[in-house]
Amino acid sequence: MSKSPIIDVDGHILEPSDLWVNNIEPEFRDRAMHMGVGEDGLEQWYSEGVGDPFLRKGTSSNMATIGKTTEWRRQNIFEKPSVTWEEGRAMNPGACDPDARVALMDKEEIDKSILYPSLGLSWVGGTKNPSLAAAYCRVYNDWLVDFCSAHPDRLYPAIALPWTDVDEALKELKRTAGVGPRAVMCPATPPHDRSYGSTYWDPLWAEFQEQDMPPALHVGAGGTPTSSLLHPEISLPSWWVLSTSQDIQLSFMSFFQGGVFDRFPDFRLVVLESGTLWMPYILDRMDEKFEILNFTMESKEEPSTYFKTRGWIAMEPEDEFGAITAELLGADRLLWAYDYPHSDSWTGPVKTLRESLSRLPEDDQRKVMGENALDLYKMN
Amino acid sequence: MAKMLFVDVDGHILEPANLWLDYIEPKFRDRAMRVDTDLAGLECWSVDGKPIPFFSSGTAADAASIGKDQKWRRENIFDSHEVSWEDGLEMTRPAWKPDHRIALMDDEEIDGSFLFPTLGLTLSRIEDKELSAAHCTAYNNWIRDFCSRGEGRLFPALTLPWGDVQRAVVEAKRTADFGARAVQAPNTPPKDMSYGRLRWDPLWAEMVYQGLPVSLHVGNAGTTSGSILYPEFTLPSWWDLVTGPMDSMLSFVSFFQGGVFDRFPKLKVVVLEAGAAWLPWLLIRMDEMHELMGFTAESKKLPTEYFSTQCWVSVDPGDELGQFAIEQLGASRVLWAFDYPHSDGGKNPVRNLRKLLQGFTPRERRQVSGENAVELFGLE
Repeated sequence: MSKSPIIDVDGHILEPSDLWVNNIEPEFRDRAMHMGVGEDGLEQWYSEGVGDPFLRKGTSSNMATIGKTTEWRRQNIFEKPSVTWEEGRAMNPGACDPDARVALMDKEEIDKSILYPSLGLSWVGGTKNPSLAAAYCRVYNDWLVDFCSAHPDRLYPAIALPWTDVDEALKELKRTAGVGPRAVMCPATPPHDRSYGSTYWDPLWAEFQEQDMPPALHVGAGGTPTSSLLHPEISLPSWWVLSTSQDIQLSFMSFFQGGVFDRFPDFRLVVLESGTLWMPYILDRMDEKFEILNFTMESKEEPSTYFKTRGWIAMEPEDEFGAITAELLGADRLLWAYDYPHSDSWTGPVKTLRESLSRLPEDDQRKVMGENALDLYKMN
Repeated sequence: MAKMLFVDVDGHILEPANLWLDYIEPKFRDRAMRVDTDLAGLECWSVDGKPIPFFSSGTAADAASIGKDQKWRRENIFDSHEVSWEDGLEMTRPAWKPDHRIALMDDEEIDGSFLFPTLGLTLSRIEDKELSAAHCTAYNNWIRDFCSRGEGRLFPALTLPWGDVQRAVVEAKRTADFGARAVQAPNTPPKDMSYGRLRWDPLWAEMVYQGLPVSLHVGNAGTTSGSILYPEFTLPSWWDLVTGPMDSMLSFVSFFQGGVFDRFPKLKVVVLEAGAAWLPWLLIRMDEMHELMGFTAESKKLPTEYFSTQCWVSVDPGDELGQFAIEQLGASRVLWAFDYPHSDGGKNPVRNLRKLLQGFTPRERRQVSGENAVELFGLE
């Protein structure tokens, strides 16, 4: 295959746990996020001065366990939590140091990676106080932009916004406008359970449109997760929560319920980390019910019409339905993501990806492997 | 070559306005479900003096609008409220007259139909448990009488008072000789009490004892996923129809979280009216997460292992992704459903089903069209 870029649209970093203590603006210093010890004597992340509901019981470092066996993780993370966050970071230099990341990418044949947070999957959408959330984001974004600037043609930041308040989010989106190509994480469950289709978010969607950059729905806390309806007592990490990734589907559909693609004709949207095959199904169902009850929702056209030019979905390298999804939706709509170094990703992604895509024509393979992302994120 | 049988596993009846008034135990007659008028002067169904959300505001007759186009429904039902429940019944006699139903089935080449309720889908929501159980008893007696006039081709789906496990078991035992071959389980369990919980075990034990499959069917007893983002939606709406499957998926997954198939290796679960193309994705995702985090769920084996012997799913004959779903899941796992006379049921189901099954072997075609249903439900 001729030289075409290989672009991972969703990798992760592991945040230094003292990042906020060391860098936050003085007025917020007493409420800086930090790793501490919970009442149970186990490692616990503290945000806004209270224990984070997900990053607790000594299991935060599960996000640093790529390549470990289930048995290893069960013993060392879950049953007898003995791996601290910083030890987990030490196991994955590629998630902590830009040079090490690029060395890892060279080894894995990846040309470019967009970097998302790890601890941030909880605090980005979950922080309640708007001005504090904004201060947290500024620290994080400045650090991440600096991290990526070491290799500007290889590493790209996924900016964190204080989603808890649309005005603060808008400010931070504008503040970071000049840093070059970047992505923005959009939490799977919106804060305050305020649907992304609600006009509340319009100023933000307008700015995304203005900057010609799509937000990316990514697994992450914010509002009420669907999984909590049936098992409210179970929080991450668990089989139950990870198996029911319907939060992303629900949020995705709410953009159509609310007519966002109509109000913002150049607004685009990326969907990450949720598999692929549900997308043709959901689009088909949305279209089918559109025929029956479109007068009870805001979109003017069949939902799949918007997706055809303005939606993208990312596959994992081992997704055996990725190629089928590309055939059903068109290869233009597909991206791929490594998810390094989280526990549900696997090393050697590009080799696996090539196998998963092998049934597609070469042109289509190139699109999925990097050409789509190159255009979408203007990385040229 | 064996003749192809066509068994529709999910048809509906429409309840005559006086069903409960006639069939309920006399002491509950004052509080019985009936056609009523709300404070705005619009037709509604009510129970215990309160309107039933999905069948109120003058739009209840939408349940009878199969074959009507969107414009007609919007003008006559949603905007002007001109079509009353009685008018709806007149439009769809096969939904409440056994001889008309048989004639319709002859026209449509359907050999057997399972009959699910319409208003009866809401009985588990009745707060007073005794009243809820009394409504189920009345409904089950009525549907038994209805099906007894069906030449052996109509099969009642039982309605149980899911809000109270003990009463549900009592009603299941009472109706053991009714010839019912299916039981409707609301796709959101009452009180958001996951179907994986031990409290349901007495009911699963009774289902296994009677050999009755449990059919997850749209019909909310608890909180819907869709209401997280749009709590205000109650009318028949696009949002409600596109997010309904989220609840079916969640409830389906909860059987695995709770290890129900381990405790009841003979329990059979059917997923109805939610499409099927999402299942290959969800099964693979559950398996993948089982390998990573299986120790946080109760199931011992990979979810696909239980699925291959204990679960079935229905396709809609007009489903564009139906062929794909059958290929992926295997013809032995798939049933089909007409959904007559609800507005999202398509016309000419058998013709569409034949088209859908064109590419399959004669044996696979027979399985999906009827043999699976005969075997699963023990039909003669």
